Amino acid sequence: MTSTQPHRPSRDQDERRIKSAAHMWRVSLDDAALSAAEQREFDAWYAADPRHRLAFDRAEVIWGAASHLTVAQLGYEPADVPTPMVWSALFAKLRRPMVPIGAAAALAMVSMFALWLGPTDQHNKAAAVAQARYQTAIGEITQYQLADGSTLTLGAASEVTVDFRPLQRSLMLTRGEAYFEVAKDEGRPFIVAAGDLRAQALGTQFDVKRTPTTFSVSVEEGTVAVSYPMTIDGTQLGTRSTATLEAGTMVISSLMQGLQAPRKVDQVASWRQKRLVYKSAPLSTVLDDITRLSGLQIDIDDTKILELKLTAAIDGTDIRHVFYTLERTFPLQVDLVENTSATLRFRASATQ
Amino acid sequence: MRSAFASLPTEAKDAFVLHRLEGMSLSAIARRMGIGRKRATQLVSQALLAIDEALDR
Repeated sequence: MTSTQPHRPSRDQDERRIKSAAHMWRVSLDDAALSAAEQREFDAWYAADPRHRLAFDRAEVIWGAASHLTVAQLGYEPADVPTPMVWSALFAKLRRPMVPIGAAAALAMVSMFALWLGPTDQHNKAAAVAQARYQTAIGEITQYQLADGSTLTLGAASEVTVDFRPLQRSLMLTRGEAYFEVAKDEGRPFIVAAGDLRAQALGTQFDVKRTPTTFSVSVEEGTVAVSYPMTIDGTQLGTRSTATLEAGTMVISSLMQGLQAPRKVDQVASWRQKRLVYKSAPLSTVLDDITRLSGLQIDIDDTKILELKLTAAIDGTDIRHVFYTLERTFPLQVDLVENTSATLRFRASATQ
Repeated sequence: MRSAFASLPTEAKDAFVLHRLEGMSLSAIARRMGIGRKRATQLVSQALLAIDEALDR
């Protein structure tokens, strides 16, 4: 797709050409009819220039977010669409298993409909109004029964506030990590907020976790709809990106990059057994978990340490074992000071 | 974003809405609009590029 130019194009033209190629490739890649030669051509284009990679990553975000735009947001004239399409599109939307989180109005309508149909239900729901706050200390994991019959397992140094109303169950994870076993209640969605992230379920088991810069949702059973503001380079755009998570998958959202692509996860919320399971997790996450479990203050003498990636399953009840694993996996030395703090540094032999 | 989208040719708007909002495949769009698959890809990309550039303003 690239060709050598007889004269050097201006920087803007260059950028635009790259952007245009990035979008062409993103759209083409979605097409099953892409030939092996085209696939190779894409690989070569992607590898040829770091600007290609950047443009493609951005095209990827826009391509994904575009599916959540509405005809109204675009100012698209529905008359442009042939009539049969309007109906089939409408039915396609109605058949979607999960209610999109953005469609608050549609959701409220469904809920009101349920109330209207069932007066006895209405009585139960009115009785289920409840507000509460749950907190755990460092190293403490506690299970709570919520007013609607759902179970909340709160990780170490974590906090959740609960606001149950007749039409909606709202929860907010303000700190740490929590695992939810949601009692089924059709028409009364169970929505967990963590910062700008939203995770919605009707009856399912899932985990929500937050650190100062990332949010994640992992699903053990059922389906969870996750949404987060579409973000490019730390700037939030008007629309929200959404992802529907099936059992055995998880998704991460970061302040800088927004919602990433969902991926498979082997064990959900293994911290409930104080088992720490990581798949290519940055050490910043691992150290955050250690602090929440043990209360140890952890110092590092090189920020590169935070970028190391760990894949391991460790028994979190013995903090020494955790550090032993780190020392065995990386050229790191851990100095534990009187069980109150620890310092991580690269081993002298490893630096030169 | 609205004005960027509005300034696109009708063909590109139609192809984009059918593909990204309604989930129709590129080959189905090509058949429906009586164009080639490659052309359908170009039209959808053209709309994505317009949205991309609108985001920077």
